[in-house]
Amino acid sequence: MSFDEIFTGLLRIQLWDIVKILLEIGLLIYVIFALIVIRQVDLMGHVIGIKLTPILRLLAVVHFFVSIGIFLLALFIL
Amino acid sequence: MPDVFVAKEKERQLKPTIQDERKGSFLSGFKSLSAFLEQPKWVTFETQNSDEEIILLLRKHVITNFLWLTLAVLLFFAPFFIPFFTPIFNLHSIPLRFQFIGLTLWYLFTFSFVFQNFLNWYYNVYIVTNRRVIDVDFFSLLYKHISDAPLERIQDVSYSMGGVPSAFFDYGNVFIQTAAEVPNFEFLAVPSPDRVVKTITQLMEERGIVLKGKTT
Repeated sequence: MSFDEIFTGLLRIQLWDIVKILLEIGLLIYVIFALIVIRQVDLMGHVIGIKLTPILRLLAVVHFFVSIGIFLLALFIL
Repeated sequence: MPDVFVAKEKERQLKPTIQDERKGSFLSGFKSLSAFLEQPKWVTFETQNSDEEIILLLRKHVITNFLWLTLAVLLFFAPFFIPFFTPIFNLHSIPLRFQFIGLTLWYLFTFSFVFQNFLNWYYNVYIVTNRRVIDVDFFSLLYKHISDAPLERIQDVSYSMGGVPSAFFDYGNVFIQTAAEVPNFEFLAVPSPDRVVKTITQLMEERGIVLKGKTT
């Protein structure tokens, strides 16, 4: 593949393709963040044992799975 | 005789029924949202000793959450105003699938913003036990800082209140000065700071500790 072909191929990439790639990268980072939030709630709940901790942990887990769902959705529909 | 009824009532109060206990357990979940908890039996902490009892569990006053809660409400309703800006910014040109993912992401971030702020408020607590004072701080995502000082090391307890919101909602800062090798404590924006100071002072008096500057 010559330099010209690569350059022409790059020019064919549209704006929305770039947006899609950036969104996917952003969502992947967000999924990692959501995973850290679960650990954060665990850590906080370990330090202070309060009644709402199981509910907050459930929320963190749901948040993590929703973020995975949106990541996969973006992967398929964009 | 009236005395007999009083005795029965007292007995009933001392021995709660199973229903009372269940009700208490259910309500304690909501009670734990309070910023000023006295002797919360359902709360424990990591370094608690078996014979240690929590006397006060404090957080920043609920009103201190006003700013981020307002911002959260604005973030929630912001997408409803998008149609007004569509012609100005030519938002029609954005493909529908991108609009959908964008909106979903917006609400995901909004939830995350609310959740993080709530966690910060809920778990950053000040604890007064019958033995010591404890300051639990969580910074960023996974960093925690817990400091404590035994009541014996406390040299002075004072509080300050300033500003309209503080006077209106009755919250302020409690300062606990300790011996040099132990860090000083600042309970920031806690409700009823006068009661906090009074409680700590009473606990110290019960243990025979004399505050700096006081003579007995």
